[in-house]
Amino acid sequence: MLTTVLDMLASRGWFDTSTPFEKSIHLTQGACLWMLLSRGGVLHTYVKFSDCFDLSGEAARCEAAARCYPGLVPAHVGHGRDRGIDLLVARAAETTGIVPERFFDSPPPGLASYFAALPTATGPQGVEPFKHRALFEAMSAYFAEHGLAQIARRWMLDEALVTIEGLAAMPQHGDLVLNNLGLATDGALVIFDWEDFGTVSLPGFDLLTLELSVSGGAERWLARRAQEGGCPSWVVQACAAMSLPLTDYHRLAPLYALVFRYMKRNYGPEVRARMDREISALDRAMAP
Amino acid sequence: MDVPYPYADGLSRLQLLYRLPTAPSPRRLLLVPGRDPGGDVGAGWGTGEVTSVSPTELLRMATTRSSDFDAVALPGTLEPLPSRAQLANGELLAAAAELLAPDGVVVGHMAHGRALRRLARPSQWIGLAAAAFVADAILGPVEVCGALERAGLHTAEGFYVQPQVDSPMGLAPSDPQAARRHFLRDLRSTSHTRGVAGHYLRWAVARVGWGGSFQSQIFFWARKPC
Repeated sequence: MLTTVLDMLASRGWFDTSTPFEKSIHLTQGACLWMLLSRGGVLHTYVKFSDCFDLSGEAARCEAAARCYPGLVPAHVGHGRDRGIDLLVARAAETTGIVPERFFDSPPPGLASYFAALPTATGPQGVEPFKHRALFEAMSAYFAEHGLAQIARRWMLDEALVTIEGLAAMPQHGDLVLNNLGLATDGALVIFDWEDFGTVSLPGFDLLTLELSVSGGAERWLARRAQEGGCPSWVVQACAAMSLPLTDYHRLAPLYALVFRYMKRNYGPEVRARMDREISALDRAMAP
Repeated sequence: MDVPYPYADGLSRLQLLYRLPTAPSPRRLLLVPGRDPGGDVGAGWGTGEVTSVSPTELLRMATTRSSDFDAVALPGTLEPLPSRAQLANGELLAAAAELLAPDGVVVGHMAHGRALRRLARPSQWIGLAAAAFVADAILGPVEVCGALERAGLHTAEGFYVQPQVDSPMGLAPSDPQAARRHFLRDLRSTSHTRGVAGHYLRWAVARVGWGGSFQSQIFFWARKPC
């Protein structure tokens, strides 16, 4: 597999394999492989590849994300297929992880620009965002079979559907959590992992997943809200940029969490169980 | 809303790593399982006939057959310090090379002899000290590449498995400079996932170039010349 990948990179002019380079090889939980290629210690190219999966959909999402958010997303290089191997290539970015403790007081520069650009962002071509009513139906069927049915019924009311259908649709990253953010060497925010971009178009969805991630879970998120008597300023600004009333954002939090859990339904059992606990905590605290 | 890449368990990901080095067609695999989960590696091989034999059988086969396979998988078959009761690493690799067709690959994983977890056990210290005098010892990725080349194979590559072979998430380079950069980069991007003490301990170890010592297994492959 590796020889084919390196041949494709060289033949398409995406990475020069004729001079010495370094590689580290990684796996996703979904058994795709990805590599970081560097030369002389300088990170150069990100390559995702698979002999099982078609990566063209993810390539379209990455290309669209790089187009919508050029300052926040590593440049998309290309997608190819040869001898049964699918390949997605982007420029690699040297980044540092973001420390959650500092996030609330000093959110990374660039985060505001992400939420400000969301209303005018266009999702990837050929990816139709899930219609909200159809999403509700699919989620109801899923949760009826896999637990959380009672909680899902409580938050997926017709009233919630009316609220979200009244909001402007805007393509969400889909997995905006701390692990998918980094700070480049110049301090600029970099957002990774766009494989779900455009799947959900529910404003506030990315904001909630990020807030929960930075808070360290639903219980801490709720405790911080109670302690501070409201939302942090960056959340207020983000909601304003998306024309999303804060009351709607807060009221829809359990629904966002349910949608996120539905999107992660094929993740491993540990992740699913952790997300179920988060949703239960939100439900306990917020149920009328 | 389709899920593009269904969740894969640890074994599926290990099987994927075994498919990384390109084996020539018709991809006949000789599987020589050692420790678990070695025996299951062949299940993810895909196209190509899979033959499974014991290490002893591998040595016997190599005396009567040649160039019969396009890949030889050695999952947990080699030992960092084989005891007298165990088969010699050099003999096993030479036999694997003998049974490979031209351009075929040897691929495998084994315990990392210099892993901190191993060094934490005083019972291991005498053996590790003795390794300096044992030609057949394979303590780390550099030594495994040397052993593969002594067996007549080329383009040998060795990696540290991250974090564990039973649920692998990646292969870190073993070249000292590249490894140092890799582990420091890894720490920078995951600084929020560990406590301060754990982070700085790992940072100090990675800084001096010993980041690989946190990894308990190594992964390797090499190719038979055409």
